[in-house]
Amino acid sequence: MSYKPLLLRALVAGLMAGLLVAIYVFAVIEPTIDRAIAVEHAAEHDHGHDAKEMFARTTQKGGGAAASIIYGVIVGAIFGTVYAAVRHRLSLANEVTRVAWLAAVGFGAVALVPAIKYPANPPGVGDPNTIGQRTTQYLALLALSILLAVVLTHLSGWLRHRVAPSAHGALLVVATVAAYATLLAITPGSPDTIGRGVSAQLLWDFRVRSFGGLALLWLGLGTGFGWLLERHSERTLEATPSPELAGTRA
Amino acid sequence: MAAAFTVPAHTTAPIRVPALAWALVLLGTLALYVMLQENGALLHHSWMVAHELFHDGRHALGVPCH
Repeated sequence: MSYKPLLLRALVAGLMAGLLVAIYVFAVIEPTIDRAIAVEHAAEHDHGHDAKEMFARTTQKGGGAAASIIYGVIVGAIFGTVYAAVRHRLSLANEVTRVAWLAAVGFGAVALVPAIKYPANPPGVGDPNTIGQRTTQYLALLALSILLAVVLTHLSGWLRHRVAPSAHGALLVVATVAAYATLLAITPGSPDTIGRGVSAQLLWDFRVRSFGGLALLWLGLGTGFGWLLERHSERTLEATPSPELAGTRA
Repeated sequence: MAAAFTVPAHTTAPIRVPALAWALVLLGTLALYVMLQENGALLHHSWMVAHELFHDGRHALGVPCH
């Protein structure tokens, strides 16, 4: 397999996953954003200043959908390139399982870990004065989370020939949980407090729905890319049967 | 060390990833930063247009926002 057809399929899968998330954001997340903005505006009105917005809400909803699609395509391209680089090291049977495994790692490191430490907030919660600090915290956690995933992957390979196969999985799970628990414990919490009339129900609804969107993206990318790649891989095998494989496939 | 978790070569041959691909990854990461993270910290204030336009996407995807 070569890089170009692989990247093409990663981009297609990313685009499809992004489209799926765009629909999800519009139908499921936007209603909670509207609820939060209503709360925010009521609070601003009480204090006598109505903020002037740069874009109309409908434009921002279009921007939200566009962001989801662009995010899907770019994450697809990055994921596909990383997959191309590590594919031969993943000792799994086929493209579907290899891609699913890497997508699970990606989801955990890029979506789950940041969502646990710095959960998503609806508009009106974040303090504009701490946005710089929160961005730095978020990006630092994201970088460390990806770094840990790489380190744990190398640890898995290092352990493979040093411990019994039965102990390998258990040791890896323990190491993963310990490493990420430590990371989540030592990174500083968000400086913001939730206030200004945002109810616990609204906050919870928004966080669950936002996390659902991230899960949908990785699920769509992981299954879509794996499926497209498996199909491609089978076709190329049929087109050019190597003498080695011809015997096993007959 | 790499040999420790390289499965037999005939199962999955390594894919040659061109250097340009990593440039693409870098570019993609930069584009994601501008779209989702830029709050006027790194770039000129006019980039706030992107911030406002992708406002809902930022909240939905769970990245820090005001």
